[in-house]
Amino acid sequence: MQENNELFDLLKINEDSAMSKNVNSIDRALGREFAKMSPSQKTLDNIMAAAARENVPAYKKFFSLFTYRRVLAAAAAVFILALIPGLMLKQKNAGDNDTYAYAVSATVGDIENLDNGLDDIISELDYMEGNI
Amino acid sequence: MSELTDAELLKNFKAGDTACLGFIMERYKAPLFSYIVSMVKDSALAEDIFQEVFLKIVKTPDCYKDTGSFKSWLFTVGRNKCMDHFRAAAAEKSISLDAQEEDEISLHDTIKSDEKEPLDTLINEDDGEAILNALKKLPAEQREVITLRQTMSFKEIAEYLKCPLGTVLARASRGYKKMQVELAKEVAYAGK
Repeated sequence: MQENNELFDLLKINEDSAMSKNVNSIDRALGREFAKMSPSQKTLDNIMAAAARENVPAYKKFFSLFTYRRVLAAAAAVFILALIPGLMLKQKNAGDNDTYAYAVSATVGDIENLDNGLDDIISELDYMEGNI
Repeated sequence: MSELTDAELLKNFKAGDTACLGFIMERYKAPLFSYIVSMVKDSALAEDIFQEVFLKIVKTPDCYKDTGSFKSWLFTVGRNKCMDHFRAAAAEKSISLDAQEEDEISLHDTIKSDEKEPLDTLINEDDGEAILNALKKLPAEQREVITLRQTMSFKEIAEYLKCPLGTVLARASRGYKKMQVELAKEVAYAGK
């Protein structure tokens, strides 16, 4: 503990006076009493336990995120997220196939109709040729 | 390790060396705890506040910017926590926090006193309670300065409390004077 010379100098008090000696005696006695004061060991242990729990390096904090449950949950989430668009795409493809099949059948029908029409025209031409 | 400065210990703590917090705590447990006790006058409550101060370091070690004294910063955190407690208590009980006003004794009246008081006969290692009781009876501002005096110079206290050096010295001189009077009363009482 530093003496109070600073105080005595600034206030122009003689360092050997009774007042100065008393002030220093009080300070020394307070210093002794304060040195005896301390929080309980339980409080100190609580703080150190909290520090051990909270104060871990960043890379350890990062890897501590990868627990077995979290990894499993993340994998399930990714699987579900990938599955939904896959199913939607599959349905779209099925629709596309139906549309294609309909378009092909319609074209085939049209060609058959055209074929019949041509046959009629040919038979008409034959009839006209016979009459001439 | 314990020879490292506060800033170095805190830096190591941030890097993951938990033991460094133990060294900081060992260094400041007595002065900080006695300061908090002198503020709140209740050692159980002081333990809680002490724990809160260090948990703040644990949870947010970056809240101390390496620009000023760690000691001042630590005591400021302790003081703010005490003020939080006073505010909460005042809100609950609707009591005035300013009950203890500084009395109007002039600096010269107190400091120029040359009366001899038998303090040396009273203040020995067995009479710690008397000195702590005398401290407790001081107004909060004087008690704070005299408590801080155990770990800081008057200039540091003035910077810490953000008030002029003259004010700090005035509070100290009034506080010491009142303590002398209280201790003298104890001597008179013990002599009867």
